[in-house]
Amino acid sequence: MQRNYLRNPLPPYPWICPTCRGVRTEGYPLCFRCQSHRDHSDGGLADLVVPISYSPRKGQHHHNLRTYKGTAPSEQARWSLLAVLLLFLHDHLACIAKRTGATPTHVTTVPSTRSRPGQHPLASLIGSRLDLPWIACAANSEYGPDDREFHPDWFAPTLGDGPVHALILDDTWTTGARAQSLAYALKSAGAATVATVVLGRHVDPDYPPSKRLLSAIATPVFDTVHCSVEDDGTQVL
Amino acid sequence: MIERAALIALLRRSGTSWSEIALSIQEIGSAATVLDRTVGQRDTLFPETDTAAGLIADAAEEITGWRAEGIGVHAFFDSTYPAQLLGIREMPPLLFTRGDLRVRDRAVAVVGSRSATDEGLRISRAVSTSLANRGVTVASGLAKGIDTAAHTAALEAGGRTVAVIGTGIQRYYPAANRQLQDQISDVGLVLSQFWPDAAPSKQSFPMRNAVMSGYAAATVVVEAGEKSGARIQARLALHHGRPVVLTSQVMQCDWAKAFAENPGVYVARGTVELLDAIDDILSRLPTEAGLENFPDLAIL
Repeated sequence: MQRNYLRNPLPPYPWICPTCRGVRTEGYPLCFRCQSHRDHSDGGLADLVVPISYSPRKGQHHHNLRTYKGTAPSEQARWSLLAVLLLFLHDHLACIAKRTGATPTHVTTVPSTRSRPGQHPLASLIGSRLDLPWIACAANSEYGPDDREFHPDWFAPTLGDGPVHALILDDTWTTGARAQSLAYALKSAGAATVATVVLGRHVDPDYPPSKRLLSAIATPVFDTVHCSVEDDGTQVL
Repeated sequence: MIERAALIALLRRSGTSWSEIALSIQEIGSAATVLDRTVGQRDTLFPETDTAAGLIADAAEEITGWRAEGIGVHAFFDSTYPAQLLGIREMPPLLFTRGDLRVRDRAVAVVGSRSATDEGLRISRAVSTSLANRGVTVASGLAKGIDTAAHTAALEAGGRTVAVIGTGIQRYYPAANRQLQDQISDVGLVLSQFWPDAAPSKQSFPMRNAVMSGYAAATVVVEAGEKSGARIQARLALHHGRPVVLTSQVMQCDWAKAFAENPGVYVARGTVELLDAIDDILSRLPTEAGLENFPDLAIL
């Protein structure tokens, strides 16, 4: 696997959000977005959010995350993202289980809100490779694709009988509103634990506070042994 | 045809980056729809008089003119577009070609200095001949020196060669390679990401290097100075996640010594090691069968 364009999430420094690993204002426990999700959800969010790599806008990982789907998808992007995701889960699912207290029993993706028909592109990329049942999930059409707020009624997952420990897989985390709305819906529907793994934590280079982050990840090192779950034992949700 | 003309109309309008235009089309699914949404939305002093239909008609006329000259015009969403270029962040939304364009092409880029040494030229020829004999396409940039040696050796070995040029496809640069460029058009492929009449510029060559890296499965840097275009291509190839092979000549440069520490960089001492590295790279390429052959990983 080529990994020169991938970057491990930074540890939760005083200026890095311990949930999403984006930039936070020093002195606050979370970044503005994660705090907003928390305030609107009574804390019923994912137990764990695990970004695999940063994805600066216009970088190669960003390109892959946008072109593995849509018109004229790139085979190489599909291959690379599948490799990154499966190798990460292979190496670090145990870290996730250790933290949430349960190995995932079900997997799901955040439903597309761009009204593309058919299966979610990430779900079709993964196929049956995870050997876990997929949770079907409907999206409330009231909320558009550009909505960046948390909504408790955005998604409606269908859970069967028996305990559910859900693993949400998503391609890009920008504000986290969709992924956290889904985590909330899963918990409301009875999921005991929810862990979210995202391929790319989006970084906007034009957002001035991102400069510090980008300079901290300038050196091209991506260590597959490392995962953000190990960074800190007290992830604040 | 309408979609391709709509893409050209969008690219001809200034103000938005080409990559953003391509990504919008990728998300929305239609260049004509993106154009419809764009026309009339400009914040200008005077009202815009263009209509989407008029812009499409103008672009269609341009395409007809280029085709009459024997120039191929390919949009990224066309079935003729090279699959490997879709995978790089500098994916050109539009390509102009002369010659035999293939959607799938197993290619290795051979690049290096314009002012090459005899030893550099020898290595370039040896590598390109071996690649041609293995049925691997030799991609290069049609510049003097290492590039010219690479193209020529591939042609002499009866192999396929692709010239990724830094000007519009109606131009010849350098002029001394006019005949070589025409020869490659006849039996291989000349490819350009620039408007057909575009002159060479300071920016166009590094942009071309990005596309060459994207076209090839790997880049071999035969010989390079501290500040050459080959160094730029090596850096871009690493950004793309494509392997880079450096020769011992290149390893004399400071940048190459730092580079060699990265994953995906091979250092080859001598032609035999160089070809071993290329064989290793080619054996790891994703196959045409796509994800069906993806290795099985026991995760749970």
